[in-house]
Amino acid sequence: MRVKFERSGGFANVPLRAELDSAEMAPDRAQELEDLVAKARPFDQPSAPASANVPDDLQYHLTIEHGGQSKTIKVSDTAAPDELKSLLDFLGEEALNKLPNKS
Amino acid sequence: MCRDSSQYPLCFIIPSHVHEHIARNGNERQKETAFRALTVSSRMRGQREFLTTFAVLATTPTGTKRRTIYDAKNGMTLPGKLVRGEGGPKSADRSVNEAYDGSGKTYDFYMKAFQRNSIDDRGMRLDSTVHYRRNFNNAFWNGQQMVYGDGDGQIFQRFTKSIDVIGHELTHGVTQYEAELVYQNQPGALNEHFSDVFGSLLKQYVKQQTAKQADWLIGEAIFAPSIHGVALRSMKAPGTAYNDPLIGRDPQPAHMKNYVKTTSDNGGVHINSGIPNRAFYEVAIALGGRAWERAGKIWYRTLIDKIQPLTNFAECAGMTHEVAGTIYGQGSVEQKAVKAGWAVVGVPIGAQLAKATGAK
Repeated sequence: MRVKFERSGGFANVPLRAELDSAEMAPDRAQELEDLVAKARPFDQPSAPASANVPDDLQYHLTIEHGGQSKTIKVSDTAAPDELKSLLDFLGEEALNKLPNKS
Repeated sequence: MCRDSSQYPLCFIIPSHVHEHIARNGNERQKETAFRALTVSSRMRGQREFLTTFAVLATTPTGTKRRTIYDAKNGMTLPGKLVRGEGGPKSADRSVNEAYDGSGKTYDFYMKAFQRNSIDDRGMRLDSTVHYRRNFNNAFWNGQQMVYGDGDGQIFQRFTKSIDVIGHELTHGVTQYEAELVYQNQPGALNEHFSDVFGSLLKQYVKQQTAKQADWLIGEAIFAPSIHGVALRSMKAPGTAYNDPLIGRDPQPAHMKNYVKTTSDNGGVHINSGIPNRAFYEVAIALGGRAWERAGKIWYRTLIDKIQPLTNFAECAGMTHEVAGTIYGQGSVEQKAVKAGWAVVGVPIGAQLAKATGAK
């Protein structure tokens, strides 16, 4: 599974971007990603659900390629269903771990 | 019923006469919820005057501060577990105490500086949730309450650490009730601007600083120690707050000629706010003394009396100029300072009018 992840906005508006590949992840993290995707069902989600228009809301731009399918979702944090929030939090952690010059 | 939703429109399912009945006869919590729904739905329908006759029924007496702090325990359910109410003992958890103290100072600041009784000017209870989700890199006002994350520890620390963050977020609540600035492009950048102005003024008020003594930083001390940066934003020198190999550099412009056109961040609302932010700083410095007393008063009255949902930078500049004239007199030192402040950032007063009428 390949994921392009971008987070912007929020009070801080410090963008975080990463391209993730489950083949390069530790096996337990790759399994966790599979489980979270199975629960979040991104391929059944609308591509751009209506924003809740909440100030300082985080904004996500996500593309997931898995099993021959590809899906792009643009969603604000508070508008995302809880299962998708869990996936977004996991991807944020992975993106952070991929940053260069990490202390 | 409205409580569990971050979106007000769901409240409209209930007819307003039902809310009115609850607001007259319900318990305190029911009254408050019903009154909030009435406030917002009346506004949506353009019936502001209705509230003036009705407000007295649901209002908490002036000067009564009510704070409630909840702990989400790293989950995503809001508001979470109640951990500290008004007057309750200090918690062993510093995030709880920071949210409690910060919202209290915000209440005191708005009351003392502008005689405003809480977010809605009707004594609304200030609810905050801390420890929202895991490593959550944000703080926000969801339309009804404050929500704080702990930060990931690598880029950000906990968001309650900086009092101007708390003032910034609660001011989004004030703007929601008073101006309803659309959170997109220039109106969105003004929404951000007013939150930065009153967040910074809150910090200056707490520290009892003059405009000259103040650092004019937003989000000071919330970066993790390894990040090269003093804060997230600088009102004094937009674009200079941080420069770090991990996260890049502060993208804020300080002049209209560098206005950033982008589709991300709701059209750059946290980026282009640098332009009006610097204008406010210039006005405050020119007037000297405590910035909340004159510059802050002009901006507060502009937000309350003038700003409309789609107000842009040039219109906002004209409004502050007009308000300065109303409060301090036409041609007063204060009004001249406002004009000069906006000129520094390339937003001349009257440009909009001249353009519209074809005059030079």
